[in-house]
Amino acid sequence: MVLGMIDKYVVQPVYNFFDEVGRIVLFAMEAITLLFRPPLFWREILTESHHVATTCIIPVVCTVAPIGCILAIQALNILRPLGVEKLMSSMVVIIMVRELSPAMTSIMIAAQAGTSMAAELGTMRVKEEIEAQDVMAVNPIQYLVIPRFIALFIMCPILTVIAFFVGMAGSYVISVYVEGVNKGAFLTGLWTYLEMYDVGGAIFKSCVFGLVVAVISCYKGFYVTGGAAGVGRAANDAVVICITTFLILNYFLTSILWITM
Amino acid sequence: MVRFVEFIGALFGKVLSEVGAIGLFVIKTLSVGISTFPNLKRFGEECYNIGIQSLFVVCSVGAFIGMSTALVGYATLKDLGAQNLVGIFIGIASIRELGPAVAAFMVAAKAGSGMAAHIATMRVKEQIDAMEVQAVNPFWYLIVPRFLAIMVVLPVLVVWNDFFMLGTGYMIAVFQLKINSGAVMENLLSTVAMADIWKGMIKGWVLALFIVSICTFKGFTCEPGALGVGKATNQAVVYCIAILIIINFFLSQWLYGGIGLRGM
Repeated sequence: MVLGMIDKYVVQPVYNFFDEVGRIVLFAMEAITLLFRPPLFWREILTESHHVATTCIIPVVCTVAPIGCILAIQALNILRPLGVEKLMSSMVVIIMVRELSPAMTSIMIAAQAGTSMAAELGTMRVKEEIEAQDVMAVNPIQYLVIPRFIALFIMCPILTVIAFFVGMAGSYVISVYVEGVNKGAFLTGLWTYLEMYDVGGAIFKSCVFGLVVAVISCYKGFYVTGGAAGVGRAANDAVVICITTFLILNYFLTSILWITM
Repeated sequence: MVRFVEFIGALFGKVLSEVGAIGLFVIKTLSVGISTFPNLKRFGEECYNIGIQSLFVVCSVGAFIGMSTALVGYATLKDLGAQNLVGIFIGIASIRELGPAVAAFMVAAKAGSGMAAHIATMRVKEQIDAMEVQAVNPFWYLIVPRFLAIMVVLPVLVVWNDFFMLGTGYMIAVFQLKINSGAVMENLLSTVAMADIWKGMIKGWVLALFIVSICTFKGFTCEPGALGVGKATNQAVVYCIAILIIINFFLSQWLYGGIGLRGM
């Protein structure tokens, strides 16, 4: 009885977790080995990049701009009582560049592009289009998965850099026009503590997050089973696993990039 | 130029009609919810589904975000020579902003998209039509229990999330960053008021309403086929997260902001 319970609630979940992780890693490795083997469908890469960029830009802007505004309000709440209002922008820019714009951009990319990839590939699997490609001697990983990998790997950093500007614009508007901070103090404060290393680190982070989104959502979509319900479940799983994984990775990356180094 | 204006007009029309459709959907749910006695068994099931399914994700993400918050606060405040103030930073960032927001995001991503996928699958398989034929009101059976459940569960998850974020932030500050534990605790307790926790719960409650109305609407009005289910899930998550952040800004401005409401 007790052994049965332990088996059901402890051993099986742990086994399933490592099984899933192993499958994802094998899938990623297969995709990466096939990347260096012709043919490379560059037209697909361009289409996918265009698709990712155009569908994600509005959600990214819509989320990062309010985040900048909130950051300005709360930073003023902390710093005004201490009388160091002019340090507000240096604090906001560092938090924005190091943490929030990579994290929020990748959350939105996972929500928009990740789920749509999982749903798209899942629908193709359910309609047996992927099997049809295999039969026609077009490797589906080369034709469907690798372009998505490359598109996310390229587009994630670009959207992150756009997010920096949008977020800082949001916090500028709120702090200068609503809360009445001095314009000059805000603009000079931006460059007090920010270094090029911070921007590079943020771009590195967002490349990693882009790969995580690509691997997980393509894996979830590629191996869908069970019809329409399966497609819905794949999209749901993809977004949850993506967000959880890169928020966990985020801690380790921040710790390595800015505390130990 | 004319085509641009046309495009903008069409876009606005589409957005407004979508918002109107969601509004009508919510009004219909409200009328059903008020005029009938809620299905308590389904309400319990939904509480279990939303709460227990999301609990693990919310707590694990909250724990790691708390760690990142401590690291960022330390890195920012170290330049000013004020490492000891990291307690204030952790307290304000976690309880006021990130606690409610992260709990709402993860519930939107896990339970919300699950809801959309589930209801959309039922729509595609014509189970909702079958329900109507059997004189079971689908709003009463599917939508109202979800509304009630998420309004109860999300504020509780916000408190859980606050607890995990503060706990991990404290541990990172003390054990990794080697800040005096008394200073962290003292600063934390002196900034965080009980009112902040209540306000966080209010935030969670309002955000819950937005999550559930968008996700159930997207599932309920799903297009046919597997493609439709995928699209419904995708749109539910994206709209939810984008709208959550925008609403969160206004809530922060209302609860903590400066325009005429300072000291609230």
